Amino acid sequence: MTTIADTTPPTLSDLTISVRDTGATSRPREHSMRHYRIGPVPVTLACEVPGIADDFHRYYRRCEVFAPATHSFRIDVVIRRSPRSLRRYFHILANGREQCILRGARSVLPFVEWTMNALVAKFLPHYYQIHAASVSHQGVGVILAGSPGQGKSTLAAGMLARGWSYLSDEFALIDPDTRHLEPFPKAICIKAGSFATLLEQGLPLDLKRVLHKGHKGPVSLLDPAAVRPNAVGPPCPVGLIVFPRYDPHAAPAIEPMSRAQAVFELIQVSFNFSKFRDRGFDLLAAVARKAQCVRLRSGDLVETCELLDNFLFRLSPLNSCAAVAAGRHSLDHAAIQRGQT
Amino acid sequence: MTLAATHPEAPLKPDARPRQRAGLRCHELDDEAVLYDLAHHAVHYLNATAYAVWRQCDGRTPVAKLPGRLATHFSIAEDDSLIADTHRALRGMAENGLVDWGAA
Repeated sequence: MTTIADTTPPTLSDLTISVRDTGATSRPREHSMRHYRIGPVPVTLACEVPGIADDFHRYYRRCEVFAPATHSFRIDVVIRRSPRSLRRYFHILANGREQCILRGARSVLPFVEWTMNALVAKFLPHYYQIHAASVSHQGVGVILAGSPGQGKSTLAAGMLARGWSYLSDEFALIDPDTRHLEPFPKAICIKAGSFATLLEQGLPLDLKRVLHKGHKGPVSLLDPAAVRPNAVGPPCPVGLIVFPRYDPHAAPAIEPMSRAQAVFELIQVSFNFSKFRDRGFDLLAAVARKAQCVRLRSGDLVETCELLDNFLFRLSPLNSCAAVAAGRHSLDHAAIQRGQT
Repeated sequence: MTLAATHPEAPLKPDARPRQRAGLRCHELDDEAVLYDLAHHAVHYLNATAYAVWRQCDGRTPVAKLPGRLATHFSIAEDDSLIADTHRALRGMAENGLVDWGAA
């Protein structure tokens, strides 16, 4: 298996062919094209660099299909040389439009993933999209929502190691018809700071394949299917909405959060609220009515996962709709928060 | 009609009648609410207290009567601080486009 880390750079003759084959908008040769269906997302990857195509296939081979969908998202990776320096650059195109230009081969795969995210955010109109990881346990869907750097992906991987099912990283997709979370089982992007902890949990992170993703720095992709068979869960209703905040120096803790506050904050981290507008507003309110909403201060991964595990265990159908005690505010604590969507 | 008072802490006109602005979609969740402003595409969160004030803004009830209603709702005394807090909440709602003012 060719890896990005040990990919032999293309020879000069390869590059000559590439340059000849790829003009400003040309695409890679057809033989390097493969089709996938990742959850509801059809993706076609056309890649000139065998090592990168192979690595993508390694993470998504379980999703391969042999005929492209009608509206498949197409991602092209082409090599072009600077006419002046002759330095080679990797160009990533999304549906024919250039997304980014990269110098290092190790950056390509994370940005192919990033391009896939961009396509989903822009062109997957049916699903309501929240910036979140999502997991499930015994049919209860859990949204781990929040801004970047709060440990959502690491937490999702940690819960996966504890036997929970994986649904998605980066996007929580809600089907507005069923209000269920939809699995979109992309590989989980793990930052270097979490490598050691996740390896201790027995997760199959391959440190020989450390990639580089811009400001995130070194990352590794975790294939959920490599953790165990059937690691990806089916669509399920949302039972718990969690807003994690990573604080490495504090003991993990869960505190209740009102449903109204949760809806307000979910809208702030939604990708396509501006497309759904009142429909999205109604959808999130309906989802929150059926869910518990909490803030999670996460620290040590094992302790945090244990806390979340125990919390979900205590949720039962009898109390899952019980009101979170928001407390009776005195009038001088009247609070109005406004968020632009 | 705009806010009756110009100073941020000045009392509102007692006969002003705050009214929930049209074009707001509201979901009550437990005793709080989220509001979506359809025209400006803004979302608002009201905690239980703010939501209780907003609910009283029916365009018929004058400002002077609102503290009494809230005192009953929350089983607290109607004193000067309650009146000041009610006015502050109404001002905040007006600034955020959640209420306008009916005719006195």
